Amino acid sequence: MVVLTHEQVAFILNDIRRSGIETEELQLNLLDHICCIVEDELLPNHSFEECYQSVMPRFFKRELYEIQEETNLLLTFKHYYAMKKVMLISGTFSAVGFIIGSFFKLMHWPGAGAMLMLAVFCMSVLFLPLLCVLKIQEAATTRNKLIIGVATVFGILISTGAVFKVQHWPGANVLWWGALELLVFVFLPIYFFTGIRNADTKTNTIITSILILGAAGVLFLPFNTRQNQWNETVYLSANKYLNETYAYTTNANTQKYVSNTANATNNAALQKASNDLCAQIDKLKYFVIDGTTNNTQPRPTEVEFLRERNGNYDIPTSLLFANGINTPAPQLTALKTALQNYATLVKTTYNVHDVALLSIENTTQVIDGQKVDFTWESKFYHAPFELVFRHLSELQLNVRIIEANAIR
Amino acid sequence: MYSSELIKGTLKTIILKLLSENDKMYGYEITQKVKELTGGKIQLTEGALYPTLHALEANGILTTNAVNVGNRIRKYYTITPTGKSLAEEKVTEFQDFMNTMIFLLDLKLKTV
Repeated sequence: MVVLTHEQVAFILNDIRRSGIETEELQLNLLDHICCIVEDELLPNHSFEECYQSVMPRFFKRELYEIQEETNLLLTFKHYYAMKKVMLISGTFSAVGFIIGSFFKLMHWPGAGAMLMLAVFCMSVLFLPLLCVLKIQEAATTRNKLIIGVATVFGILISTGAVFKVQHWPGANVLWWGALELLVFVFLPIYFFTGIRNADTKTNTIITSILILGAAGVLFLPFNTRQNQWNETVYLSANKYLNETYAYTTNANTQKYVSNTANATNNAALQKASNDLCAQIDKLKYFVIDGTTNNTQPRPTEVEFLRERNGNYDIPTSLLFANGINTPAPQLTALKTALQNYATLVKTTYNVHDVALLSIENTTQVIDGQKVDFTWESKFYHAPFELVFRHLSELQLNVRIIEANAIR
Repeated sequence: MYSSELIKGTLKTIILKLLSENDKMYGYEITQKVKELTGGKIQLTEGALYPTLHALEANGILTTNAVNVGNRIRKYYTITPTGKSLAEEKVTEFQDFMNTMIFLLDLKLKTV
């Protein structure tokens, strides 16, 4: 039996590598196998090249690379079932999360945001990418692979955008617009112009394209809801009016202090108490703004802040009632005490009894035939941003009104 | 020679059975052994053999040991205990399949 030389072995190995066999283990296996056959079949004084050329075609139908492809397929197949399982579990989890999260949201129960986020995370990070990988493997043409890829990105953007929109988080519109543009300007042209060329898929392509365009129109609707814009306009004009009245009253009070000098000591104490209380309310507003924007500098104005976040009650509630309705944040409790102290000061020093404007007493309401007690703090629980800020701005204005009536 | 379609369905069973009866084998040796045992009726193609060996190795059914043979490296395959029980399962399954096929196609057994 002939033993192949180093050069001949190196020649075979190079040829194997040139043929596209990438896995080293497979290269070594094939090298040994080819060498065994050639050594068996090569007769002394015969051409190595001729023998090698006659042996090689036994290894493939078209080209040697087929073995690499088959190996890759079998190795990927190993993960196929695991991937499919994870895909199904994550898909089910996100679907259930979306349903329960939406229900919680509808009922205004806490945890809706977290549940929706978890669902969209599962969908965007596990379900859709895995579905994409598995479908791309099954796709026969580059066109189909491209369509699956673009559709996956669209799915991730639209589901994330939907949750951002429901939660009134900044960036929702960017995600939503991105998804819509991808659908209309990338996905649809690829799908339409490649599908219409094939006589078999022509009719289906036209029908599906029309449906996609219709769906895009429906998805565009959230941008075109006049009601939201009107709500925002009404709210912002009310906010403007409140702030202007507050500024006017504060200014008027300052002038009143100058003209009323008879009771200077008490007036100075009243001015200080009023200013301190209004500053404390401002601090609570900043606490909510900073807690939401993660201390972004410069701090946005109240109007800028609210314009982006109206309707969201999860964040202010999580900041002011991190441990539930019965445990208000220390800032809120401190404000209540400050309001009570202020009311006492005004009542005792000036005998002014319009402190009821501050509404610090507990209230009782009849709900479903039962009397329910509400604490002063509870008006901030599950209140959206604009309501929290409105309560606080009203308090500031009422402090100034009480102050105006008290100045002697 | 049998068609590659028939062989493809039984390739894993053949490899596992051979390896559970032999301490260690390399690719060429497996093809030669099958050829010898079947009188040339079954010839494993390299295009099917090596991908299957690699997949079995990746699944922990086979382990490999590289040995220098002259001027090249030879990979010897050994079956793991998991692989041995899988081999038994595969052979039993195949036997059951054969019986079903004999019944289904109404075959009369003849000696090879």
